[in-house]
Amino acid sequence: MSGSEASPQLVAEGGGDTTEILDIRGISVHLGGSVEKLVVLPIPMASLIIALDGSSSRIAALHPQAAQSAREGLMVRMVPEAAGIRSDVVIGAQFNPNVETLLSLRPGAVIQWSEPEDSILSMENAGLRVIALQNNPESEARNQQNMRIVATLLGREDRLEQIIALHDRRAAMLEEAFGSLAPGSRPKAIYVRADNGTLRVAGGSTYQNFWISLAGGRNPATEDGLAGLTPVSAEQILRWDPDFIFLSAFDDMLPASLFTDPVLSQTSAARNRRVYKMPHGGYRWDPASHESHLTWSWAAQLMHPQRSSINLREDVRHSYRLFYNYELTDQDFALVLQTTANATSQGYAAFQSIR
Amino acid sequence: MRNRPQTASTRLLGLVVIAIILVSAFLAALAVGRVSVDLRDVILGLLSTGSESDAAAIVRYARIPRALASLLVGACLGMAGAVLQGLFRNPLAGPQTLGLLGGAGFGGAFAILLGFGAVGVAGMAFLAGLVAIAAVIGVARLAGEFSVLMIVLAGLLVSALAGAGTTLVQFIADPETQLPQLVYWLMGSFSAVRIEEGMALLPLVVACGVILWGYGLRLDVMASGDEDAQAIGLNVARDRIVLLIVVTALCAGAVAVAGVIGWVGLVVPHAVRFMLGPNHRVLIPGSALLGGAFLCLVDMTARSATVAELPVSAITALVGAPLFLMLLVVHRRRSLVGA
Repeated sequence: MSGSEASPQLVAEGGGDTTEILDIRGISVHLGGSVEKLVVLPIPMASLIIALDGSSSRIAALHPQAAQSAREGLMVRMVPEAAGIRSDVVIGAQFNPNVETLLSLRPGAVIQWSEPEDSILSMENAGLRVIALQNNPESEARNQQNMRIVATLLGREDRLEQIIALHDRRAAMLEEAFGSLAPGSRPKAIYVRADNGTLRVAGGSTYQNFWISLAGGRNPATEDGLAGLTPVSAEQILRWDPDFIFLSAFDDMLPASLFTDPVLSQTSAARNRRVYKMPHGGYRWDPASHESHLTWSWAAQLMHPQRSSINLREDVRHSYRLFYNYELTDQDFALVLQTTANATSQGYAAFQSIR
Repeated sequence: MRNRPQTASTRLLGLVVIAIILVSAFLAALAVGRVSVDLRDVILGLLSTGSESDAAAIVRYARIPRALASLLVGACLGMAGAVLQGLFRNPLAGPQTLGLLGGAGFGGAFAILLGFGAVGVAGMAFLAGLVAIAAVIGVARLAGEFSVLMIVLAGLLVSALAGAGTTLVQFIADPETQLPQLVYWLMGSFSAVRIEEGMALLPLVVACGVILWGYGLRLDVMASGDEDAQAIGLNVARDRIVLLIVVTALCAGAVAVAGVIGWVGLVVPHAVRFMLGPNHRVLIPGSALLGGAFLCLVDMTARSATVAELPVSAITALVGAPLFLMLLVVHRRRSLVGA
C-alpha cells in the first residue's frame, strides 16, 4: 500500500540550517533547523513521535487526552518519562490551543489537526509555526500521509520507512488473502462506541470501516449508507445481525454487557460470543496510528482464524521492540490485548498462550 | 386564543378521545421498530415476565422502556406548558421560551460533565431550572412591570445565559467520551433510557398532575389577571410560587430522562385548548395525555424512520412548527368569522 494518494510533496532540507515542511494544507512551513521542542495536539501523534524518536524528549507538551491514554494503556510503562510531559496546552478539552502557554514554551513547532482552521490561525497569528495534519484519517493512505509529515519534521524518515514497510507488508498480505473475497464470504462486522448507553456505529469515511474491510469483513452500516460515527438503536444493530462486534477502547462497554443485554444478546455476534474489546497499547487500536497494522492483524485473526497465519503475539512483540525498544511481558500482553475483558469471547484463547 | 364554547360532557368526551389516542400511540410504539415483530409477540412482550421469545424481548426491553419514558416526558412537558401559558397569560409561554428547559438543560449538562449519575443529573437539572425561572421572574419585576412582554424578554435573557453556560460545558467536555453524549442529550433522546429511569417519572407526573389539577380553578382566575384573582381572595404570589416549583419539577424530570426537547410544551397545550377550551381542569390532563401521545409517536419515528437514530428535538420542531402555524391560522379565521 502506498501513502502517495494526493500526498503533498514533502521537503526536508536541513543539516541544522533550515527545514521546510509542506503540511496537509499544502502550506510550506519554514523551520529554523531541526526541531528540538514540539507541542503535539493531535492525540495519537505523541505516541507516533515516541515511536519515531525512540524517546519522548522532544515532546514539550501534549493533549490531555494523549496523557490519559498513556496512563491507561502501556505507554507510561514502556516510556516512563512520558508521564511527566505537561498537558496544559489546550483551553477546555477540545483542540483549542492555549496560545499564551504555548508561547511560554517556545516550541520549534506545534503539530495540530487541520480543522477547525481557527485553532491554527490563532497560533500562527501569535508567531508559532504550525504543522497541520488531516483530522481522523479514514484510510491507510491518509494515515501514512500524516505519519510522513511528522517523520519529516523529526528528520526520522528512516524510522518511518520501517513502520511503513510493516504496514505495507501486512496490508498486502491481507489484501491477497481477503481482497477477492465475495461479499457473501465476508462476515458482517461492526465497530461500536457506547457513550453512556447511546450506541454509535462506524460507517463509511471512518478508519474502522477501512480495517474491517481490509481484515476480510463487511460493514453493514456502510452498506446501509451511514457515514462517520452515527447513533443507532439496539434494534438497528439486531436488524443488521452482525457476526462480529468490535467494541471501542475509548469507552467502558465490555463484551460481558452485550452477552447479557436482552436485545443485543440476540445478535449472531453475541450468540457465538464474537464480541471483542479493542486493544490499547502505545495508543488505542481503534483509530489510525503507527500501530494500525496490529489492529488489522488482530481483526483478521478473529474474523478468519482458519485463513490467517498471523502470529499476533509475535507481531506485537516485534513491533513494540521496534517502536519503543521494549520487551513485552505476559502481563503487558494481557493489558494490551484486553484479555480479561475478552476472556469469554470466542477464539481469544489463541492470544492468551504464553509463547 | 379564543375557543369554541364547550359543555362539560363534550370536554369529558374530548378527554376520552385523547386518552384513546394515547393508548393507540403507545401500542403503535410497541409494534413499530427497525425489527419486524408480529402482534402476538407484541402482546407477549407486554404481558410476560421473563420467559418470552426473542421478538417479545425486543418489545419488552427495547420498546416498552422508551415508549413509557416518552409518554411520561411528553406528559411532563405538556402539563408544564399548559400551566405556564395560563400563569403568565401568554400564549407564547412554554418551558423553552421561559428559559426553564435551557436552565434545566444547563444543570443536566453540568452534571454530566462532573460525571454524575441519573439522580445527580435530575437534581442538578431541577436546581438549575428553579434558578432559571426565579431569574425570569426577578428580571421581569426588576424592570418595574410584570407584563407579558417583560416575561418573554426575561425568558430570552435567561435562555441566552443558560445557552452560554451549556456552550461552556460543551467546550470543556472530554472530546472522546463526554462531548458526543452531551451533544446528543442536548438534542433530546430516549436511546439510553432504562425502564427504571422512565418509571421514576410516574410518581412525579401523578403527584404534580394532581397538584396542578387542584389548582385548576385558581389558574382559570389567574389567567384573567392578578386583580381578578386578588379580588376573590387568592394569594396570587404564593400560588404562583407553588405552581412554578411544580412546573420546574416536571421540566427537570423530563430533562433528566431525555435531555432538552422543545415544542411539546408550546404546541400541545394550544392544541388541547383549541379542542377543549381554556378550562385548566380539562386543559391540564388533556395536555398530559396529548403530550404523552405526541412524544411517544415522535420517539417511535426517531428510532424507526431511518437507519440512524434521529434527534427527538429535530422531529418535534419539524412537526411542531407547522402545527403551531396551522393553529394560528385556524384561530385567526375563527376570530374573523366571530367578529
